[in-house]
Amino acid sequence: MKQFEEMNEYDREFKSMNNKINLAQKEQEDILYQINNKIGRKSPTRRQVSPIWKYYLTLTVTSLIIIILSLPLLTNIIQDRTGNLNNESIHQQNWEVSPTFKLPVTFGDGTKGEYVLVGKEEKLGFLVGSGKEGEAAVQPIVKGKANKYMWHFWGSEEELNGDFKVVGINETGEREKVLLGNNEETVWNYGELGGSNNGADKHIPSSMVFPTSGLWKLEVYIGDKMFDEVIVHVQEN
Amino acid sequence: MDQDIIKQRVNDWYHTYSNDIYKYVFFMIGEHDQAKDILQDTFLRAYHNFESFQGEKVKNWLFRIARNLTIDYIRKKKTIACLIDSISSSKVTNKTPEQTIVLNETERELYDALRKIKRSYREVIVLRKIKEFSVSESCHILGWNENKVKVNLHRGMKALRKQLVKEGYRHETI
Repeated sequence: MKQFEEMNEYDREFKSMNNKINLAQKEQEDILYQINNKIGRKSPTRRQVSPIWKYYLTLTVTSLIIIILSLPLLTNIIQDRTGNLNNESIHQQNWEVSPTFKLPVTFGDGTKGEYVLVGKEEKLGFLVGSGKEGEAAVQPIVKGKANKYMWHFWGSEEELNGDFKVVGINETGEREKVLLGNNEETVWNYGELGGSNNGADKHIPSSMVFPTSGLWKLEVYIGDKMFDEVIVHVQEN
Repeated sequence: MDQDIIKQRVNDWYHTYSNDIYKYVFFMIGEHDQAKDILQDTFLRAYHNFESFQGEKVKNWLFRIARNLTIDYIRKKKTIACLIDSISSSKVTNKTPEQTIVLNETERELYDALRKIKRSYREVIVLRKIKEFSVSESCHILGWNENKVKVNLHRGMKALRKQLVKEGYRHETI
C-alpha cells in the first residue's frame, strides 16, 4: 500500500501546476489565425495522385535508372560480342606504323646476330625479322597468311601478370580476333606470359593472321588492363 | 467530406483542447515558443489527416499527434545539441521558461526535477498526474499496454523523488 501512498505524494502540486501553466488568450487566437491561414493556402486544391498512376510512375523511373546504370555494361558486352568499336575509325587517320627496333642475339652456332621487333622499345614488340649483325631484314606481314610471332615485354612483374590478349582493329574500326588458337580458329587471348627471353622480362609465342590489308592497330591487354598498342601495316600479298 | 466542414471541425477542436495540448507539450519540453509551434502543427496535421481519424475520442487522437510531434522535436533537438557540443564544446544554456515564473517554490522544484528524468517517465507522469488521463486513455495516446503505463508511472515517480533528493530539495526517508 505504501507504493500507492507514494504515488499520490505530489498530486496536489501537479494539479496546481496544471492550473497555473496556461496559454494566453491572445496567443491562442494568433495560433488559430495562423492555422486557418495555412489551411486556406494549401489544402483545398491539394491534388490526389491515384495509386495506379504512382505505380506506373515509379516503374518508369526505376526502369530508366536501371537502363542508365547498365548502359556501360551493355556497351562492353556488345563490343565483346561483335568486336566493333564505332568511333575507332575516327582515330584511324592518325595511325602511324610502330617503329622497329633491334635486339642483339647470339645464335646457336655462336655467331652474333640480331632480332628485329615492331612495337615500342623497352616496352613491347613482336619479332618480324632476324639475321646476322647489321643484316637483319624485316619480313612483311601479309594479308590472310598465318605466321608465328614471338612477343617480348619489358616491365614489372605486377604489370606483366595476367592473360595475354590482343584486339586487332582494322581501318574501318572493326575489332577482330587476330591470335590463332590450337585448332586454327582465331581467339581473343592466350594464357599467361612466359619468363624472360632475349633480354626481355617476359615473352609469349603467338600465331597471328590478319584478314585484310592496310593498317591494323593491335591493342595488347595483360590481365584486365590494356598494356600498350602496336600499329602494323599488313600487305596485300 | 467538404474542406470547409473539416476546417470548422478543427476550429472547434482547437477551442476545446488547445490549452490542454499546449500544457502537455510545455511540460514535456519546457519551451514556450516551441510548444506553441507544436500546438499549431498538431492542428494542421489533424486537418490534413482528418480522413485517418476513425471516430475515436478526439482528445486522445489530438494528444497522440501532439506526442509524436513533441518526440520528433526532442530527437531533433538532441541531435543538434550533440552536434553543437561536439563542435564548440559549449553547453546550451538552460534558461528558466517565463511560464514557470508563476509556479511556487515546491512546484518549481517539481517542475525542474521532472525536466531531468527520462523522457518516457516524464511523459507518463505528465499524462497521468498532471493532465489526469486514465490508464486506458494514456495507453491509447502512448501506444503502450496497460502494464507498461503502470510500471513506467511507478518507476517514473521513484525517479522523480530520487531527482528531488539529488537536487537537495527533499530528504531521503529512512
